[in-house]
Amino acid sequence: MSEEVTSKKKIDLSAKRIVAGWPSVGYDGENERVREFYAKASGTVKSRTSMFAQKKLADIFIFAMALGKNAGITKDYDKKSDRKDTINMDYIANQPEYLWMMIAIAIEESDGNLEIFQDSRKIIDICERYANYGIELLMEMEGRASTSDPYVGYEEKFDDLLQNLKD
Amino acid sequence: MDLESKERLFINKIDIENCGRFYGGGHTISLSNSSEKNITIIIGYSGRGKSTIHDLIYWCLYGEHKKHAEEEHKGLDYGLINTDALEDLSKGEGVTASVTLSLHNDKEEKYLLTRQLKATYIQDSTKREFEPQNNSRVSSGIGFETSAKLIMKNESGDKIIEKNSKIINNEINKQFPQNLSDFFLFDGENLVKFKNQSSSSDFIKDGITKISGLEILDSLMKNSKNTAEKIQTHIGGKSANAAPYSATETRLSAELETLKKEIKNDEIDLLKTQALLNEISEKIRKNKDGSKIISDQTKAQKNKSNASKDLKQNNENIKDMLFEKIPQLLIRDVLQNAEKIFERLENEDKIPPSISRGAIDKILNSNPLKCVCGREFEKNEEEGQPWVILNKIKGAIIEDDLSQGISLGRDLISRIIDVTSMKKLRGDFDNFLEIRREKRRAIQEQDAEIEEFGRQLKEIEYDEQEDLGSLKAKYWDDYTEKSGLLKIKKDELVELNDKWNENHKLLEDALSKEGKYDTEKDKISLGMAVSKFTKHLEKRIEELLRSETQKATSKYFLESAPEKQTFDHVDISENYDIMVKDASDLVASLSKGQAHVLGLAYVAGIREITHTNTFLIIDSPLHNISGIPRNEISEVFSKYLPGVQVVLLVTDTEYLHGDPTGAEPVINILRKNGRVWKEYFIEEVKTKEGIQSRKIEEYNDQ
Repeated sequence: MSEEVTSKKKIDLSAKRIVAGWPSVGYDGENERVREFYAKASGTVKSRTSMFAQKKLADIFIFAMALGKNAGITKDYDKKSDRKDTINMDYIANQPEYLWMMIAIAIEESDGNLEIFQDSRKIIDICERYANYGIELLMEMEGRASTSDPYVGYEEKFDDLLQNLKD
Repeated sequence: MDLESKERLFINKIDIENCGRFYGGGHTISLSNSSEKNITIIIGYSGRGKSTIHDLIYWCLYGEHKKHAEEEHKGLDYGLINTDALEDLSKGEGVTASVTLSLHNDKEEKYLLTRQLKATYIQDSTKREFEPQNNSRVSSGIGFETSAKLIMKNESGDKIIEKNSKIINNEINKQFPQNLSDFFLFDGENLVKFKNQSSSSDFIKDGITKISGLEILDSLMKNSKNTAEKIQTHIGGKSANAAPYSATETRLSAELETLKKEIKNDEIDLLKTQALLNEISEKIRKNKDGSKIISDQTKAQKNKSNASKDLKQNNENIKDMLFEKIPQLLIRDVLQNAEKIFERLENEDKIPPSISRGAIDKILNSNPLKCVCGREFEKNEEEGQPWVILNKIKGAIIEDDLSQGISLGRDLISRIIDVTSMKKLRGDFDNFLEIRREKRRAIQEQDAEIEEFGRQLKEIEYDEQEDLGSLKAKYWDDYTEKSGLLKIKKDELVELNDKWNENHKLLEDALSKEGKYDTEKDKISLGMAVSKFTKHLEKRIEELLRSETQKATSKYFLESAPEKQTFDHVDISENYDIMVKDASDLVASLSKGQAHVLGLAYVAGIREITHTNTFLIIDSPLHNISGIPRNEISEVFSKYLPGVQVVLLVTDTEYLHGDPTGAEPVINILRKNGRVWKEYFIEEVKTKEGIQSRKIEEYNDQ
């Protein structure tokens, strides 16, 4: 343990305060399909069988981010103004697993450079770029659903992951 | 809701003059005040005036007609005032109809209430039109005037006569709240609704709404919201940015209204089909073979319904698993890499080791200390001993933000890796898939059985010479098709509501960016705030009352229902569907008699939670009930309403006669239990002038 690290660099990693001051997470709000997909999680969808019925924007974002990271493909915004930052970090901090999944991706990308914790914008940028690609895959999975088999795309993906990953 | 305990009030005597089919005066009925013999019976052939007595008590109490829909009565020539007395009038003459109630508490007469309607022949007229005071169609040359008189004691104990209608209504409403009148002036026809949970839901919702004052809240909520939305649409139409959303809102609102109306009509239609289906099932049950097959078919339907519920729950489990685990599995290698990176950083002293003072405290709290090698160390505070070394380590740990944050994060990451063990997940997932296959198979099997039973029903020869099996199949198909279409429409409604909400948000956004209309915007905010608060309040009150009603109904039902031991509790759902369930929480099917008792238990339950401590007059309490169930309900009246002044308005058939199925006449059951005080019979008589009237006399079966 190095006291130097904490005192000189003043890194604040307290679990409770970790997201304080972080900017909101965004997505491609100019893309109509993406916007509508995120809007599904506005809380008004009650009776549908959709995977994301009654879920939050943060749930969709994390799912999309994981899909993008797994594919290893990122996607930038066409232009800066396309970005719609509406997902408050509090929603992500409510589920610490989500926060640490984001941090794990960022720390891996920076090869363990702890300075990344001082630049929350950078953590969010990395995750957003994966989510921008992942959302396309997610919409594809959701699109395969039918009333009688609402999670078909997800089940296939799950099965695929269980077959190809090792303990 | 008045939760204070109320003084017990009962009707001692009713006097009727020139009302309905009761011509002239002297129509008097005394009612029981005995707590042992608490039941008074009024018997009459159909159309003799039983319901009239019931409705006249309501009119006398509130000055309003219980059934006063103009549409229903506009073609009728029979109204409040006796028709013969009215038709006999010559120019300038008048006739008065009146009802007087003598209302007592346990010591004395508390109120003497008289309500009158006077008709005066003013001029000749051939025109007849609906007259709301008389509740019928009358010559437009006749004028009507109502009046009321209440004799009561003032604060000093002196008798006073009050003639001001508003004061009278206020005084009476304090003792007999009009919104609770369904629970002391009860229409027995409502009991039939309890055979079917969805047909009773409107009645229950209406009851809970009335006793709670929710009508006022509901209207406040809707009005505030409507006003705010109207202002929004209005100023939205003027704003260039908001105009398209405003136009869309108007269109979507109209579509929503139409769809809601369609759904309401379809629901009524579905209920009618269900009633036809029930009717056919009842007929089939009269046949011995039919009864068995119907029972087997119902069992198969129940099994199918249970399998469907399990399938739904299993789908939810699958959904939860997929939702939670897929993202974690997708980046499992990333999490494992992060774990290694943190380990490396720890080795390089860039982050603290993943250990906390709390963890060391846990170790120190165990005495003796147990090493992983199996050795045990008794507490010993000498230098070099484990206790001392651990305390030194504890002192060296710096629990700052960094160490806490990293520890938490590393812990979470390793937990995610642990719970995404492939072997365990594979096992759980395969198990869910197997359950799904099994439940789908069970549903298919039950479907086949249901179809087979349907085929067998068609082969039976019924007494009625009707092909009841085919009819049942036809109505069942009809019912299935209609309920499927209704479900589609309800889904459409949800979608349309979503669209409306989404568009409304856009309209709000556009208006918030609009620089003008500050006053209107304030009004909108206020309206929406009131609506939101009221909705929240309404929901809480409604939930509380529903739960109280459920408890009280359950209590009475489980005390008094025939074969009560087979039931466990009564449920009233969020949609106000009332269901009796067994110990496995499965919905039990009720016989006609049990359904009637459920209705009575609901009335008794509401009376209890509203502290209604007054008479219970039931018109047609045995409506549409025959055979053994009729006897069972009679037992309920005689055993389970002790101390309540009960008046039953019954037909001669349902009270005096048994039936071929072996049911005993109700009169025998009630008399045997010693609860009947007096029985009256409404006779048809002719006056000296040859006018047909009614006479109420004590019943004598000798």
